[in-house]
Amino acid sequence: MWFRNRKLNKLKRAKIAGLITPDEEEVLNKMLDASDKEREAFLRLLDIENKLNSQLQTQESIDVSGSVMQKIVNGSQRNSTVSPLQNPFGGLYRPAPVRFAFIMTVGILIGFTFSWIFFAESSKPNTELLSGSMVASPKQGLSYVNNQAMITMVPYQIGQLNYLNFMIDAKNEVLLEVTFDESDFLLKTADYISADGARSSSFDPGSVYFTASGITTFQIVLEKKQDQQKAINIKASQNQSVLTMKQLFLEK
Amino acid sequence: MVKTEENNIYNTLQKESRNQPMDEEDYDIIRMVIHGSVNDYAILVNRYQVPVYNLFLRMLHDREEAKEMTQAVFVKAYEALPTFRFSHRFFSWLYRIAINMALNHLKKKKKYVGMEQLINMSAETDEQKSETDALMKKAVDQLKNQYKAVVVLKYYQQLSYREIAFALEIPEKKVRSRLYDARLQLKEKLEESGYY
Repeated sequence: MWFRNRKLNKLKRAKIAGLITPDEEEVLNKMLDASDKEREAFLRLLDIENKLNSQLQTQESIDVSGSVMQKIVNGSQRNSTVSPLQNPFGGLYRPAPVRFAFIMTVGILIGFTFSWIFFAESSKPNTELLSGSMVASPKQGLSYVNNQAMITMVPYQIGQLNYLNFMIDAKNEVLLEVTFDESDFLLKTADYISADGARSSSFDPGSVYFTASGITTFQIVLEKKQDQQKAINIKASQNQSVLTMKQLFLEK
Repeated sequence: MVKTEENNIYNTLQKESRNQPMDEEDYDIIRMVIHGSVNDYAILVNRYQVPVYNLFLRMLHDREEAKEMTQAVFVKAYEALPTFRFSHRFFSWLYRIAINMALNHLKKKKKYVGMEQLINMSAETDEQKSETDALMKKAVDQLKNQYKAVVVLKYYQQLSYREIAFALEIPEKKVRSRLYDARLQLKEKLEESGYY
């Protein structure tokens, strides 16, 4: 039954579309002969098709060419008379791809500006801590390079304050330990200035630990309690193996 | 056999739709307009404004709206002209814009033409026509928009299946199937109205 209905519908569609073959038409007629109801319904469909085809094709006339051209010309004039300051691109960004490129460029510029403001703000040096550091003489520092990591520490001294500035570029995480005698130095501050990777630092009396991955800058400020040369120890390790160790003597 | 005949029809349509003098002329005008000869666009407006207006009239049943939409289509097409692909016929492309605008307009306004308005419309435009034609038009107007669109494009605008498929952005097979379903719905509506 289902198959018969499917075939009947297919033949009806073919007949209405005018794509039926004589053999198929014969089959269709036989199938329709079996049901007066089907035949009547189909004849009505054919009648509708004929009626639709014979609908008078009278088209109402209209003339909008004047107003269309006026609108187009006004639009063009509006574009061309706008001051370049008000609309520097005129009709240039009218095509969709150009408009898209324009919006993308503006978006990138805005994003870049905001990024610059943000990073410039966050990496602004602590003027209170570094005041005068430009005129201080660099002291003995630390420099270590292998194919996985580059570690540099530049110390500066201003008055009683010793600034230890670490710059690290490491593919994998590096752990830095800075130890000192707490009777010789007082830890004033220790913090990241910038870091590509995760920030993790801890302090104990007489020691500072911090990790670095990617490009990282870290600053430790120690206040010297005595006038004599006193030592600090720096150890850098990676995957629990020591990369470098160094003892530095900080003078007054 | 059916498939062979279908292919023949398709080939004929393809031949018809390619390299016709009118298309070449349209392409020349489009090129001139794109290169700055704006006034030449009026030739295209004059050439296609009547069928476009009548398409809107069939879809919206409001002369003022149809007129406004016709103007809007030509302005929109002018603005989009730089994106026109010369592999298409201009008027098929124009119809695509127009039918999309008409369907969006109907969707936005959720405009269903009331029975009285339809009767008035018939009275205005079909004074000389038989009651049969008026009933048929009324039934077409009561079809859902997607079915109404294929019927209007096929029988009132005389577009080919291929052109309807392009205008509505659906496959040709879907056009045929929608038309068949539209006829079935028309039959039901005409039966309800006592036509049969």
